[in-house]
Amino acid sequence: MSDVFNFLANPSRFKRLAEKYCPYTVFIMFILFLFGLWFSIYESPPDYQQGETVRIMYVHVPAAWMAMMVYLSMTIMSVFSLVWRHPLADLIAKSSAPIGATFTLIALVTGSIWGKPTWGTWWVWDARLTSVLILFFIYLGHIALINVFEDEEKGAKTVAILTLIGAVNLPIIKFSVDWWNTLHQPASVIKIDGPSIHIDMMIPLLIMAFAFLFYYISFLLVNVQFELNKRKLKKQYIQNIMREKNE
Amino acid sequence: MSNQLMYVFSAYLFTFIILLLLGLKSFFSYLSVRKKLSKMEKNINKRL
Repeated sequence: MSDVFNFLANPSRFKRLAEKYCPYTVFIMFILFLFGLWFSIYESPPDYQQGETVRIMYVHVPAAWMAMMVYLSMTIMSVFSLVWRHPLADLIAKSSAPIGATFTLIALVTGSIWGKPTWGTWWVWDARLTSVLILFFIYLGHIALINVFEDEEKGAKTVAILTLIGAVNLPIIKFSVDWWNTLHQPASVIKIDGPSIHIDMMIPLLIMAFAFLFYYISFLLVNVQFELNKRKLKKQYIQNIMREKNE
Repeated sequence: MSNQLMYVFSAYLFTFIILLLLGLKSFFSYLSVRKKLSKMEKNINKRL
């Protein structure tokens, strides 16, 4: 495992790999979204209680899962950055934050749209909804803070510490529906005694979850390449100025 | 369109518009920096 991390620690090697594999991940993402949409809109049955509105689940749940997964990956990258000073860990965390924030926003808004016909209200201050809203603010804080520092290294270190502190929110989101009496339903897929959701609804849900995962991988690769090119551009700009001064 | 389908349509529309906007923003930012970088590399090669 450590060999893989050492292999990817070289930014130009990572950039070459990202350039090579990015078109494939984008292609897989499109295929998964096409299949996911087909299954979730046409193939899956309406719910016996909620009717057609259950179809919102196929965008809401994958977005919520990915919002948490992206933050988990940022937390792991922050540990790599603080403990092992991995040269790409900060970049991966920085590139993940806008994607994670977008997934959280989608989960919040689609949840709200689903809440109106199901609960009769757009929003309630229940534990699950509030903890996800806090996650959204943590993402925004991460994005804002990283752009404040002029010294990139110092900024990355501060943001990594903030990310680790924010990770406390992840188990709160996951177990909020068990710890408190909430309007939000408890877990029906990821739980100890197995999923309680019907297979006809499980298939589109999983396809959409993989589509969201490939969306994250694709645009993470694009964003990391963007950050690497930006660093290189900055370095060359400084070298140019130095050269002009010497001439 | 029934009331229920209206909610479903709104949720899907919002999701895909946001995903598309973020994707386009990332892709065009990447393209613009890559363009600037190759332009700068060309200038350096000319001088050398």
